[in-house]
Amino acid sequence: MANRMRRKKVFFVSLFLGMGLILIPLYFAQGAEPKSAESQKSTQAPSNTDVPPGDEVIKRTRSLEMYPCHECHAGPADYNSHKRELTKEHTDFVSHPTQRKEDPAYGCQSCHQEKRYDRLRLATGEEITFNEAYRLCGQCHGTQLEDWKKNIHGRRTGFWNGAGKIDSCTSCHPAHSPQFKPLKPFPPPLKPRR
Amino acid sequence: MKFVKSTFSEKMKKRVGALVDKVLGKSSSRRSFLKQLGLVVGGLALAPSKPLQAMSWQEFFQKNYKELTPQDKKEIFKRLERQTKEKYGVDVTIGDPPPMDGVEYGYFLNLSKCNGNRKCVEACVKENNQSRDPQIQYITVLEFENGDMNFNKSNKYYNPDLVPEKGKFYVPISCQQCHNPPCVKACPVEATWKEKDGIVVIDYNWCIGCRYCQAACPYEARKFNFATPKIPAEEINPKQAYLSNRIRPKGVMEKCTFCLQRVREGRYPACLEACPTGARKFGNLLDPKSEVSQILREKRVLVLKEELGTQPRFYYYFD
Repeated sequence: MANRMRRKKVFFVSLFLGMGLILIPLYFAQGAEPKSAESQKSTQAPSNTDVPPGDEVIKRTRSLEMYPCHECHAGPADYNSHKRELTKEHTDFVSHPTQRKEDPAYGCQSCHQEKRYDRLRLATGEEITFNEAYRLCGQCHGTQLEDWKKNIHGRRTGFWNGAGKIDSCTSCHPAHSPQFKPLKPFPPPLKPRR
Repeated sequence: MKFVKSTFSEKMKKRVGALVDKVLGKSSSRRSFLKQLGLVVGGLALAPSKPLQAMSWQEFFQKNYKELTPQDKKEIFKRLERQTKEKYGVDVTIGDPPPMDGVEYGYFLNLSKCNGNRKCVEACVKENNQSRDPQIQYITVLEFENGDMNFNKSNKYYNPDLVPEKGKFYVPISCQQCHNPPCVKACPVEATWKEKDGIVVIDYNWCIGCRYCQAACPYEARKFNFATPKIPAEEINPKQAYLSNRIRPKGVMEKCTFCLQRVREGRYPACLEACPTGARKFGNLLDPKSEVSQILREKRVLVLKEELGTQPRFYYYFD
């Protein structure tokens, strides 16, 4: 009996500690949030003329919150602009496009803002958020961007005669390895009984 | 009037039921059997063979959908909801969304994007309350070798760990909602017809289950309910429509209706929302600004079995 009570106690204590472990980083992540939200507002393009009125491009910043660049790349000293083999969290990145792997001018800063990896930078020098990644991708993939704007390329859900939600490029094509991933198929139909 | 009608139907039910009991259960001598046979044959001519208790007077004499008044529909939908509750134990609502004005639906599928993952099949089965056993699926995904589109060499039972496989391409086929539907011409009782928004529908209560339409369809889009559909109660979609996804009775045809219960409310078909590749596009062909009209103008579009003159409303394209 006493043993069971003890086990129960151990269970609750570990549960409490586990909750703490989950909640504490969340608290810090939220603490960091308002800053980025504020700066987002200032950098957002004045109006989104690329997307049909009423439609909404699914935001990317929310899903990237758990993986913020500024957590590691905090100060100017934490940025290394030299081209090198990627390590730590970045080993699964594929050079995109692959044919520019050897190009010394091609690296993180080709897409990310210099000294501020939480932002992207267009070829014009304009700084944009991850939510507008399609503007960055569209610099090279013009045909896809044109099709995407007309909802011929990509995925749109919602209403066919009203407001819809459009997936951004990076919703389906992961930014650092953009090839569409193979999927496990739903089981085939049953063969007819004989 | 209504009172008289209901008591009459009650009486009929009792009388026919008693007769059947008498003949099948209790008849001992040949003479009494023969005596009652005539009566029973008369009874059977009035009421259909098996579920005597289930088939009410109103149900048996229900008119074709196109001849129903709004009042009739209201009563019928209520009855069907009650029957579903009795049979499957689920509360459902059966509606009847009308076609919109100035709308003709078109469906486009990008063959360059489709990777054969069958997520559309899964979503379709759930949305449209298709029988799990025996299995009925509106969408058949065919796998082809690159460079050939011979239907005889296609494979619908492919099952690798990951799709797409190298050197293969995939063509999902469901009802093509033809402008010139051969199934409608084949139906001897007008239980299937083309609505003004282009969707070919079936009145499951008017269908006699002759399967002529199945033979007439060159796309194998029509499926037959050989048995009463079996669906787990928790998987039944309670939002149903009379002409589309309500649970079908045994012995009738069914097929894809472009998720009529969804698209007539402005939503996308379930298969489109489920597709992870964005290969499926749906919209109004009469609106020149819609995505489907733009695809029709700008892309390389094809229809299946064009030479048959069925003029499908379901297009495939490349980019």
